[in-house]
Amino acid sequence: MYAFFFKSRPMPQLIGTAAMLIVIAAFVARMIVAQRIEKQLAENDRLASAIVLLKKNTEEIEPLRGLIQDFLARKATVEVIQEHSSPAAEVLAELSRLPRAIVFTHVRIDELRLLAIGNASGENEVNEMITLLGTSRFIGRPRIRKLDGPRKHRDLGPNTWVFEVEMDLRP
Amino acid sequence: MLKRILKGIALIGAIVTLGVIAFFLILEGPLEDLDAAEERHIQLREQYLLAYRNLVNLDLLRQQLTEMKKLQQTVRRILPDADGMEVGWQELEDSIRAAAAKTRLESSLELSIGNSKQTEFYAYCPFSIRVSGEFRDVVPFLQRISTASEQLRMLKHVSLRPRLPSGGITLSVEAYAFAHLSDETLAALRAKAQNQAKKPR
Repeated sequence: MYAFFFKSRPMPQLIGTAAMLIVIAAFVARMIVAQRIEKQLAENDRLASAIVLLKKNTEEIEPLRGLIQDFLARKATVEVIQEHSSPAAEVLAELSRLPRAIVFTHVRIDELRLLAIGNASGENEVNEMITLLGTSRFIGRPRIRKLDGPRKHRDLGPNTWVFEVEMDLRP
Repeated sequence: MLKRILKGIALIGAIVTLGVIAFFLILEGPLEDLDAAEERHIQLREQYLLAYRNLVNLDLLRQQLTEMKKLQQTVRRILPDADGMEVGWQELEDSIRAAAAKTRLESSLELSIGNSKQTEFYAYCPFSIRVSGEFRDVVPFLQRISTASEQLRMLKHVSLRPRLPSGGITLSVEAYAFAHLSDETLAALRAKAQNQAKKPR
């Protein structure tokens, strides 16, 4: 049958028939696609109007997302800076609470390192100060760098020791 | 036989060519439109689900909004908005002078504020202070301008020395104040940095 079909028709006629069938098939497919597009667009319109309605009812909470983003950005910045922030004020307040037998003459804080020079009314007082400072949550590794004495001091008496202490500060 | 095979090949070739031409001329446009409509549908569906979830959880979200506004106020006090790209120096000066006034150190206060600089996320400006007074006043002053201050400050160097001959102590501080850069400012800074990187050296 196929052999007869090919045999009985000349080539141009066959190509013409095929072309016509292809065009018809393409237009049918186009129609189907167009219907699907129409359906999809209608569905999209329906969704869009439903969204408008929903958003109208929830517009009061619209700023929430922006607020959260802004809050998180600021919080992250604050945390990063605080991680490296020196607790200088707290540490000075703690130094001011030390016994009166300790008198500081110079305190220097460079970022997270504190160096203090002062006088103590005895060697034991210096050691006690180091123990006391070691209990602070803002101070790490308090250590004596220099200790000279005893010598005479106007306010602290004849057994005064001059000390130089160093410590790390914890943010 | 050969003639028939050649005829068949020619016919198949013609059908394929016509099919391709027909696809491009008749079907390609509508198929692209269909894809676009389907993509839009996916986006709309996501938006719908989000809006629907918001409506269902409206009471909870209202509560969250109220809480977030409070938190936002707090964090804004700690890290205020930059004045464009600069840390607001007037506010900085006012707050330091107010802290000095509260601790009776206003008369000896020397304040110097440097130029603002920007990082990838925030602006900062260095400032230095020198103040003299009694230890009991100086330490609270230092607390007021740093940790007890509502605003974020970082103390870089602090020095306490005896004040001679009048007694008391002199406090010298080098510190930084910070401010939040808006998204627009950050975008402008990034664009500027990119332009500078592109410029031939």
